[in-house]
Amino acid sequence: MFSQEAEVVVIGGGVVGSATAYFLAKENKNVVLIEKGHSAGEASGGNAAWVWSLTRKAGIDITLAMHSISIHQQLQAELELDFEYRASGGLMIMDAENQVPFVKEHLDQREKDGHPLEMVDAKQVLEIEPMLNRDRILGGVWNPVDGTTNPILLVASLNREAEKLGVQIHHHTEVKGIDVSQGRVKSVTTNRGTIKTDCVVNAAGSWAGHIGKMVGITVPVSPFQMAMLVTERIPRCIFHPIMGASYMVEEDTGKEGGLGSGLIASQQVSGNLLLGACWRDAGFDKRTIQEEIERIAIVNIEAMPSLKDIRVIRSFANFFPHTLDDLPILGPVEGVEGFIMASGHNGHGICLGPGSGKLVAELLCTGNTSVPIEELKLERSALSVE
Amino acid sequence: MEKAELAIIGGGPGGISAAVEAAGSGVNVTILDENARIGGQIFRQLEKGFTLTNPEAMGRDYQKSVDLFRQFKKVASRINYLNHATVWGIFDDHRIAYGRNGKSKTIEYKNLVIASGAYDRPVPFPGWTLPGVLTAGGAQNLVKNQRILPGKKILLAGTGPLQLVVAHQLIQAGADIAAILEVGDVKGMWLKLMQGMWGNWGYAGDGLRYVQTIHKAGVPIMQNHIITRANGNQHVEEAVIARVDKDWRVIHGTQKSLKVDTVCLGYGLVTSTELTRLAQCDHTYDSGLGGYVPVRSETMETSQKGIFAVGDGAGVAGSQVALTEGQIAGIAVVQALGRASGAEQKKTLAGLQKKLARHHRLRQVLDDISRPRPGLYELAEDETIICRCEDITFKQIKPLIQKEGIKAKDIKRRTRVGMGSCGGRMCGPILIELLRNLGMQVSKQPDGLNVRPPVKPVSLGVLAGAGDNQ
Amino acid sequence: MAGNAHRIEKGVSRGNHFEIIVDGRRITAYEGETIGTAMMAAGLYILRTSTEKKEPRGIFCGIGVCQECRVTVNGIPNIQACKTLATPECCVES
Repeated sequence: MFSQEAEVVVIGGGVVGSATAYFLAKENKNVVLIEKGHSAGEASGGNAAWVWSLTRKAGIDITLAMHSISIHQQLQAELELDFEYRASGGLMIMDAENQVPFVKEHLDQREKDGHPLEMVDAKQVLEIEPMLNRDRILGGVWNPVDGTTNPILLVASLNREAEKLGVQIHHHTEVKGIDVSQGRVKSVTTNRGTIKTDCVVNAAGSWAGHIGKMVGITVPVSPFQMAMLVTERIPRCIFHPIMGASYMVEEDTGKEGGLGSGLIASQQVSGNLLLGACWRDAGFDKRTIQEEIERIAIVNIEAMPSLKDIRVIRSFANFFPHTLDDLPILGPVEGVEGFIMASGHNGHGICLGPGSGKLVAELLCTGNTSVPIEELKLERSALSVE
Repeated sequence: MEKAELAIIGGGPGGISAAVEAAGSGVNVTILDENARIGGQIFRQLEKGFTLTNPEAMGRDYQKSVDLFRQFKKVASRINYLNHATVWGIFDDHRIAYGRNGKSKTIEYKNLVIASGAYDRPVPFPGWTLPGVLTAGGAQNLVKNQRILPGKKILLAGTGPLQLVVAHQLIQAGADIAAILEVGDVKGMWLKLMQGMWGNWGYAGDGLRYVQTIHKAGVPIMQNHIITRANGNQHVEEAVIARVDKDWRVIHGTQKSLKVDTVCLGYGLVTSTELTRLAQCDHTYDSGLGGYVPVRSETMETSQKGIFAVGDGAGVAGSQVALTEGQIAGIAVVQALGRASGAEQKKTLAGLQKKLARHHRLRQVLDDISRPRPGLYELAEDETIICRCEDITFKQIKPLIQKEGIKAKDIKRRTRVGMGSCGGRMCGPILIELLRNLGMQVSKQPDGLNVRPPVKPVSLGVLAGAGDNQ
Repeated sequence: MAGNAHRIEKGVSRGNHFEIIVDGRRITAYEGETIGTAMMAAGLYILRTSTEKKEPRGIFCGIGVCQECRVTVNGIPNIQACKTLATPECCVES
C-alpha cells in the first residue's frame, strides 16, 4: 500500500538517504523513503567502495569524515547484515617528484588541524603493499583509520533495519512535485500517489537540483563521472585501498572538459579488484568510453606490473554529485521551511553518507547537530557561481 | 587506427556470408573472429594437428562449409581476416575495440555486421553444476572437433531435432546413449521439425537417417520427459528423469533413475546479444524463442544506422538462415556504399527475402514445440545454483524475485547474480525467465543486466597495450 | 565416480603428442587438443572449485561462453581450458 502521510519524506535511496531514514526511525520518526530506481542504484552503488579520509582537507572536510567513520563503526556493531566494512588502513603512494610539495603541504595542514597523517618511505610502502612497482615508489602516506566497505550491502543493511523500524521504502517511485504553501512544505507528489508531510530531506545526489527546482530553489550540484574497472576474483594481493598522489596535483584535470585519471586500487572481500579511475564531465551518462578503460589499465599496470595477465570483466561509471567547493550541502534552506538538504557528497558519499544521515536526523529530532553544519548550508558563498 | 568500409564481428556462417557478398562487390571487409579459423561453431574447422581421414563421416554441415570456404577464398584478397580477435567494446563514433596478440586495437567502421551467434539455453536444476553435465553444443564440439567422447553412458535431455544430430554423432563415435529426453510434445513431427531446422528437404533426409541410427542403436526417444536432477559425488553418476505435462511441469510419481556418467543438455539456443546491446540497438523479447533479439529491418539493419545483425545472434534459426541473412546484409552494405547496380541487386534481395520468409514459416513449427514452458524454470531447489560464476543459489534470489515491481538489475546489485566472469550470459536468461514465470512483464529492452565493456574478459595488459592506435 | 571419457580414433589421425603437467601429474596431450580435452582424456574432470560453496566444476558450455572451465596455466589464473590449446610442458593448476 502506498503511504498517505509521513513525518519525514526522504528523497533518494542512496547511502545518505538510507542512513537518514534509519537514524530518524531509530528516534521513532514516521519516515517514508522514496527512490526512483533501486537502492544504491547510482553513485552509492558504483564507486570505489572506500571509507577514506586520507585526502580530506583540514577543517570541516576532515571533521565530517572522522565523524562519519565513527558512525561506520557504530553501524558495523548494530546492523544485522554484514556489509564487509574493514578498517584496514589506507595508503597513498608518491611516484613523481612534483607530488611531494603538495603532499607535504597537506600533511602540514592536517597536523595543524589535529588530524595528523603518517609519512612512510619507499621501503615501508612496499612492506604495506608488496605488489607495488618498486622502481617507481618515492614514498607514501599511511592512514590507519581508512578502509573499504561494500556500499550496496551497507545500503541494503540500512534499508533492512529501517524497514524493521517501520520505515516505508518505495522503490521505482519518482517524485513529481513538492507542494509548498506559505513557505512551508505540505506534501510530496509521486507517480504513485501524494504523501502529506511537513518535512522533506533532499538526498537525491546528482539529481538534487531537479528536486530543488520543485520548491523553487537552485541547488548547485552537478553530475561528474568517475569510471572504474572490475577484474575477476583472484587470490588476495592488494591489502589496503591504494591511491596515487597524482590526485593531490591533478585534482582538477577533467573538470575543464578533459579526461582526468589517477591510481585507485583495492580488492573486495570477494577477491575482485576494483581499479580506477578516470573522471570527466559526462552529464548524466553512465557509459564508459574506450579511452577511460584503456587509461585505467595503463595507470594500474604502471603501478602494479604483475597484474598484466589479470582479466577485466567489466567497467562501470557513475556520476557523483559535484559541488564547487567539494563539500556537501547539509541543512535547512532559507525560505522553504521543512526542506532539508543532504546532497553533494562529491564522490566521498560512502565515507560521509552515514555521518550526514546521522547529522540530519539529529537536526530534525533535536534542532541541533553534534558536528556544526552551519558552513555546509546551501546559501554559503563558495557555492555561488558569480 | 584501422578503418573498414565493412567490419564484421564473428566468423560463422552469417559473418562469412556477409563478407563474401560484400567483398564480391568490391567492398573492403575486415572480419574480427575470436576463433583461429573461419567457421564459427557450426562450421568449425579442425585444429592443426588433427587430419581428417574420412570427410564423409563429417556430415553435410562439413560439406556445406567446404562450399562456403571456397567462396571465401575467391574474394579473400579484399578481406582482412583477423583471427583470435576478442571484440571487447563498441563505442560511439563507429569504433570497435578489440584485443589481439596481446594488444588492444581500434577499428573505425562505416558499416558493421554483428554475427555473434548463440549458445545453449542454461536451465538450472539440482546437480546441473556437477562435472559431467554439459551442454549439447559443448558435447558436439568435443566430439566433432576435439574428437573426444565426454563419457560412455550418456543421457541427452532437451528439446528439438538438434538433439538427434548430437545423438547421431555420439553414437557414431561409439557412445552408449541411455535415452534421449524430448521435453516437448513431438509425436510424428520429427520430419517437419528437421525441415524447420534446416529449411530444406535434403537435410530432412539426413534427419531421417539420424533417427534410423538412433533406433538401430536401441536408444529410446522419450517424449514429454525431462531431467529433474543429476546426482553424484564429484561427477555425474545418476540422472533422475520424469514425465511432464503440456507446460513441462513434472508429473509427480513418474520419477525414474538412470545410471549415466554424462548428461548433455539441449534446450535450444539463446542469442548472444551483448554486442547489439552495447551498440545501443533496440531489442524486443521474442516469446517464440524465449529470449531477446535485436529489432531489424528487412535488410537486417538494426535501429542503429549502418549496424546490421545476422544469424543466430539475432534470432536463433540455424545456419541456413544465417547464410541468407548474411547475404542480405552484405547486399544492403554494398548498396549503402553506392557500389551496386540497383536493379539486379534489388531482384536478388527480393529473392533472398522470399527464401527467408519460407524458412521462418518452417521455423515456426520448431518454435511452437521448443518455446520454453514455465515448468522448465521450476526445477531449481533452494540450494540449486543460479549464477555459476558467483555461486548464487535459488534460495538467495527467491525472496527478491517475489517482490512486487522488482527488476533484474535490483537482484543483480543485491545478490551479485550476473557479476561474474561470464557477464551474465548464463544466469541472465535464467533470471528473465524466472521473473516471467512470476508474471513480470518483460521490458522491451533487455535492461535486466547491463552490458558494460569489456564484454568479454580481457587482461589488463591487453587493455593497457593500446599504444599503437595513435 | 569419474566419467569415462576417451579419445575417438575413427575418422581422424592425430599429430604429435607431448606431456603437460596438471597439478603435478604428467598427462599426455596431442597437438590441437585443448587443455580441457587433454585433462578429460586423462580422467580429470574437475577444472576448478566454485567460489563460495567450494563445489567441483567442469566443462559446461564447451564453447567459451560460461567460463566454468577456468584453470591456472603457467601461473596465470582464469585461463579457459575449453579454448586454450595445450602446449608441451605447460603447467596447469585446477
